[in-house]
Amino acid sequence: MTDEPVVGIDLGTTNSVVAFVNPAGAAEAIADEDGQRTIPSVVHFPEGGDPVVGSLAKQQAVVDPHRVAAAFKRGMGRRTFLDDDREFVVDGTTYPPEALSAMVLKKLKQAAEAHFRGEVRKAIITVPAYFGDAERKATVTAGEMAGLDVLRVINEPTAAALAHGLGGDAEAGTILVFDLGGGTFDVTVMAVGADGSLEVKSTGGDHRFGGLDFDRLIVDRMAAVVQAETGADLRADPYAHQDALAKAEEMKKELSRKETSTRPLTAGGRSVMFTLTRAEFDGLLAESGHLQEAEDHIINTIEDAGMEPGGITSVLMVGGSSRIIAFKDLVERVIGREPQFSKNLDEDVARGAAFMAAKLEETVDPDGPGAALAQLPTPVDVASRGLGVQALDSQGGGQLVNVVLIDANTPVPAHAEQTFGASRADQTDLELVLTEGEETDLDFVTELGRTKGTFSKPVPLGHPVTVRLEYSVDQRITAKAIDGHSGDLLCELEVKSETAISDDEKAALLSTLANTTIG
Amino acid sequence: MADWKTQKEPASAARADLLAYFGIPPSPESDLEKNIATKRRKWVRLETSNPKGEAIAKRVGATIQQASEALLKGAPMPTPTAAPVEEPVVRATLVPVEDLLDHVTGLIMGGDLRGAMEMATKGQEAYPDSWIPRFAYARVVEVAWGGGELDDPRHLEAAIRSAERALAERPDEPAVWATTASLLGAAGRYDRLDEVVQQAERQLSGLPAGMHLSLAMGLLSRGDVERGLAAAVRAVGAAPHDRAARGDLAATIVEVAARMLPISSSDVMKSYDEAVAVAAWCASGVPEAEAAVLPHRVWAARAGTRVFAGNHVLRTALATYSAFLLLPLHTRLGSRPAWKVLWEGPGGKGRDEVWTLWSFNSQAPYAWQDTFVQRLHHAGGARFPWWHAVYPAV
Repeated sequence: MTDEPVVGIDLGTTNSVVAFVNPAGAAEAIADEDGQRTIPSVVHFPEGGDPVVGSLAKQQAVVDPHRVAAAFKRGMGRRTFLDDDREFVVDGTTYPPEALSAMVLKKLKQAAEAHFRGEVRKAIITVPAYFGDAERKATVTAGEMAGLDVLRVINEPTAAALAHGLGGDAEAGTILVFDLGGGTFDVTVMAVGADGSLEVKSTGGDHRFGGLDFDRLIVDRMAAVVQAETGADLRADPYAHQDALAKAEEMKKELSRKETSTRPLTAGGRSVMFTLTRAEFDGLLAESGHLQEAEDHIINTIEDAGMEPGGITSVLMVGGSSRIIAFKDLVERVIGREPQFSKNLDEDVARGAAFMAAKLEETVDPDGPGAALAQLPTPVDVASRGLGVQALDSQGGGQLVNVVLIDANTPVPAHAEQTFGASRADQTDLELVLTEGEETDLDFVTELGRTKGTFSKPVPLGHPVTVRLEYSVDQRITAKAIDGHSGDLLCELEVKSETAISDDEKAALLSTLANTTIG
Repeated sequence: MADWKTQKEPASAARADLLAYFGIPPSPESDLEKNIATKRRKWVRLETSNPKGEAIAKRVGATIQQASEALLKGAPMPTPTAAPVEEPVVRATLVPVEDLLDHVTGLIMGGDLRGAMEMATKGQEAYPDSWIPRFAYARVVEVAWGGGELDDPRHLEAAIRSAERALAERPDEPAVWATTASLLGAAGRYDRLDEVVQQAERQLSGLPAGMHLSLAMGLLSRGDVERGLAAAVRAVGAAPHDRAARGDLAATIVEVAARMLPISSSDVMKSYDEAVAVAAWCASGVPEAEAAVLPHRVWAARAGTRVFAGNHVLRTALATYSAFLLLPLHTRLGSRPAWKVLWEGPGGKGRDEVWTLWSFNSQAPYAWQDTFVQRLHHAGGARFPWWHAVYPAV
């Protein structure tokens, strides 16, 4: 057992939470200096001052929109998160999503250190189950830039299920976790053992689909009403637009509790009272195709688990946007069961991550009140996407195709190997291209890396080459190509921590963050 | 048979093709809604693959929606089935500088020149002190220019600057020399190209084949035939199996050779002969290039033929004597009004003399001047079957 504090962090698109497991074995979220346990994932860069994260930053989005960054989780693994693919630049400095996430993580770290009155380094950070390799590595990089030692990155549905199960509500069976947050949507089918063990059977979703999109639907309706009544374009004024987005979010949340919501809007110097009913909001969701898309992902994920909807024994709703009545009704209709909502909908993911961190670091006394946690089996991690290599389809006209060696949802650590043949006579070299994705069509897979190798002498057509893939528990992926006759290692590839930022950028940001207190 | 679930667009807007798009037959028509949902879910899944896959999947999703409405609600099916969606620019993830060139090369080989250009450009911003992204950028422009994907000369100039900077840092890299030479040739900067080739010959133990080719094409294009032919010979010698290069060289040399016609002097004859011989050697084994060179080979075989073979003194004496013989003709005709002579035309009393005199006056110089037969043919408008191949502008 160790006394060094460890925390679990839910790095959300709209809100983030940091939690820990107390000596009683219960996980609780940590409040910041303002007493808030759910901290908006928003960063404001005031002129001449240090960055500010949280509610204050979110308020500045209305008055200083060009210096405020939000929803940057959607761009993790890339250089930008803005809709028009511009980079986010303030005072000549570019802030990629990793850097902004690092600032949020640092804010959470500060809150945890204030709570523990000492340094906090070790953390588990959650990610959407559908995040691929690039997004996961970017999350780890963000944690490192914030001064954290990221023990592991775990899937949000797994963390939520862990928190839910330890709350005593779980039964053995197959659960479907419906995690609809501010920016991401995950559906996960998990097998729950009688001993509380969790095994992911399948996962699906869209990591660019969430509450923010529903807010924009409401803003579009607002803009139409304002245009009709005043002739003004609500979206032409950035301040009016930001104000409308903030109010849209409030109305969306209110419509989960009430049938009608009303807010005043100002545009072109005139004020308009905007009213939206729950039925109208449901109509917007249906017309936009969001409800159909959610239903498709649910059915796809259940089918991927080799099941029918009737085989699901319980449904757990996670994430703030899962409160939307239309989605609750949808899930109930498709699965045929009333879904369950956790008591701490916004904090469950962080709490589950805290449980996982405590278990890994053995910070809980196995003989104390947290004995149940200590005895709980560690949830099985899985490969979120299929892993494979590019190869020539000799029977398909010699086209390049993707060959999956490790299927999606395979428990990790995992390894696989397959033998291929040299594609031409007198072949002297080969190129090993590692891919992520489940399709054979290369248009729908992502290249993770490539390397070249050379045969010791020209080989004939069909000469065997064995490709071995390994996916470790800490999500390192390595691939090797081996001469099938001689056993020589032809080439080896380890997927590096390739993020969208360069090492120089990372070092510069690390230095900046180390000397900055996030407000 | 292709899987209907992965079929991206229906064959047509006809009902039978729309049904086939949803797997009917072999499924019964009662399964239409189920199959629509199956297909839609298949493509919803692909929207989360990668940016390019997402664009394709969204486009197919729209097509599925339109096709299903056409079948279920009788809505018209737009033609074409869906408006093509511009695939988004694949925002290249920045890679470590030591891997940048491999990645850019991979993108080039995969045909993604936009992605390669973007990665190379971002590389120059991220690694301003490294020669690698500069060379990578120059390489992308070289390929794009050669393939006709770029036509703005500013790109070429920027690429040349990048390549020259990369060359200054890595004069030991043959590939950098080759790309620099190629870009200079494309920009028509043959003097600088000359210098670069000479520097490369001093710096490297052997010139990359591409450099010889760039130099040969450049020299031939600006009319430096002798040096151009020598460079062409070196280019083919360095890469004898490069059929494309041989074909290009042969075509360029043939163009240069055609501009030498008609043969007007011994020097021109020699140049033409040599050019055709080199073109024929370059084209050897490349059927389409051989066909282009063949007319010139035939022509060149006769190019040395003169109008009047024989002793020059005798030729001159005969011409002079003929002139004397025709003197009376001149005198007689000089006493008659010109209009009458011309009016009477051939067959008239003085007509034959006029036309005889005119013919002599027009043809005699070819004898006096020791002219090549080609000039006579050209002047006489003679047409041979391969004429158009030799004189394409005529």
